[in-house]
Amino acid sequence: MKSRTFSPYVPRPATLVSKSPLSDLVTLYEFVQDNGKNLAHKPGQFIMVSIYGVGEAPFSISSAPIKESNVFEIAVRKIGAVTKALSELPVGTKVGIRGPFGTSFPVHEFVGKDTLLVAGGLGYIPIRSLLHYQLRHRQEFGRISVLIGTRTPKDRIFTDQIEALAKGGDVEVLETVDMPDADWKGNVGVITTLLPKARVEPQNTHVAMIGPPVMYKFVLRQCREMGIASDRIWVSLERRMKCGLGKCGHCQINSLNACMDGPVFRYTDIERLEEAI
Amino acid sequence: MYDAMIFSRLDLPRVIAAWSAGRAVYVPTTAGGNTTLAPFDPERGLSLDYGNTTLSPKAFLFPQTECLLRFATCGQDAALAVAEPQGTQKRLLFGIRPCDAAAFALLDAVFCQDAHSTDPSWVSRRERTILVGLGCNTPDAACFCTAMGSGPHHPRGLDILAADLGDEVLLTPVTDRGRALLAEAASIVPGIPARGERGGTALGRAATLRINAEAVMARSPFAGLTLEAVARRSQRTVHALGIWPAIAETCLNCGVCTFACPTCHCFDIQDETKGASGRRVRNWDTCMSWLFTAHASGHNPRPTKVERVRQRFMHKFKYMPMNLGGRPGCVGCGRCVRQCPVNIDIREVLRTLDMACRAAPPSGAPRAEADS
Repeated sequence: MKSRTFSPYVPRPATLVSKSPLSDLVTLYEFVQDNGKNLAHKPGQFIMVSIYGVGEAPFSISSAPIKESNVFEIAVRKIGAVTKALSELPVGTKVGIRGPFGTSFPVHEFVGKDTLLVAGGLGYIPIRSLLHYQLRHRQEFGRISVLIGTRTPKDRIFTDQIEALAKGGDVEVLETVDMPDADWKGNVGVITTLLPKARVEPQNTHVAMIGPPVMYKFVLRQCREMGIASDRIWVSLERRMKCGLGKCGHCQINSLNACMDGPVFRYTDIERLEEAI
Repeated sequence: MYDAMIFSRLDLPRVIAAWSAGRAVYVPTTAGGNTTLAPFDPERGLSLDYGNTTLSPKAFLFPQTECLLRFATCGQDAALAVAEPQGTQKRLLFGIRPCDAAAFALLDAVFCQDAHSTDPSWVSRRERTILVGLGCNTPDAACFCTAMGSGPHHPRGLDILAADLGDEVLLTPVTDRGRALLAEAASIVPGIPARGERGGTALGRAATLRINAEAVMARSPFAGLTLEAVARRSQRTVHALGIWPAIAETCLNCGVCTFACPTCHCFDIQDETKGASGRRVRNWDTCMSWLFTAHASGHNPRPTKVERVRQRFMHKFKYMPMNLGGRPGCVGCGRCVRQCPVNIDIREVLRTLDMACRAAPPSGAPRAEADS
């Protein structure tokens, strides 16, 4: 079992330091790497998490890159084998991680500009990494608007943080749910119902959007109708992945690999790819 | 070419026996209607009377199942994974065909595309595996290597190219490694350097065999296949062609084409455990499978066989040429043609694709939007 052979397939050990429920099925997990190093990821990147004996799966990093803290976060819905095993891990357990992998939101291009963040469902998890990065460097960016859509009020995640953000007044936060319950007082409808309400200056706005597959084309069309140029729109696309190294073939989107050419794409780079959206 | 050597055909087993010192040598062996590369057995002799191996030799460099790492599931070492070094055996493959060697050269670009993600087991096996190819004198009806930038006596990817001259064998080194190997053989078995009049005759006979083999292929109804029109069209145009449903109609999504193919390299990664320890393996996978792209949410970006069949041909004839400097992701070995249970012929697909690309309107029309 002792070998020094370097392999990009071999994960590094990391320890689960905290877990907290975000909704019925979604949990926030905090990890630190056992090598004491900072993950040094960029907003929008993902990692592969291994639970040995169960498998390995890709997850977006939800925390902002922070130099002073080695803790990083993922938020995961219990839906498959790895995510179920993850949900059963006690704090203190070690897992394997590889990465960070993939492209990120080009925050340097957002400097001095307004930002419109569109998060459908669990899309808020990676959007949060970008949002928190921007909040940490608040003076570099213009207006920030966050649109959040979920299926039901019970599916909302990070509710306390989002409410605090909305109350703070610095960031425009608009929320909607597809299917309200008796207690829901907010907007009802799909996420496109929020765009007209957002105070957006199309000429000066960059858009980052992440959501379920069905969301993109409708939001993209709306952005275009509002006059936001396609080369100022970034989308993050999810695909089944195995290697994260551009070899296994699973995450291909036409000629691109979501693991290396993505997951974050400038919309103009993929708008002509039929498999993208 | 002056450092090529001529050996008597009867001495060829001795040449291979000489190479067997210090490495495992595999030679073509036919049994039960299947040809494989099997360990060389001097007792059994050596037949050069075979078309090509039934399955591609890719498993020698990219096994159907291989261990990536080992782990403990409990105790102190839990969550400590250790790489399992692969491909430590020195090997020589004798008699692989030029198409299959060209496939290895193509896969180098996939497995070693950049320094950060170089595949350690591919590199390890490639470095330790010497390839002595045998030129094809009688290509069969399914072969189309000449349409895919290769040829029946093409040296790309090989260390030594052998030509079967009947009573003699001409061994032409392609790489320095091949040159050293030839010197190794010549020190034990009497060979004749292919120089002067004697060499000229042998080289001439080899050239005739190559020209004859190419002429056989030129008479194939698929001889004129070209990817020029596919290359001129955008991937969006090729993707949107109306040909794909008809091509996919009879496909069973069985995946035999992908497993037999020397260039198909997609893989799955799975954990296997037994008691307190386990291993992570990678297995050949197939883009013909629904599961290949299925998300945990139930969403599938390629939900029907039409998308999956299109992916296989687009990957070989559009995406790989785009990403690998124009080289198609197919070497024309013909295995998928021979083995498809419903007779989907990749050459017919290519011809249909070529004609449709020629007829397609110019790219550039804006994408139609779905209504909300």
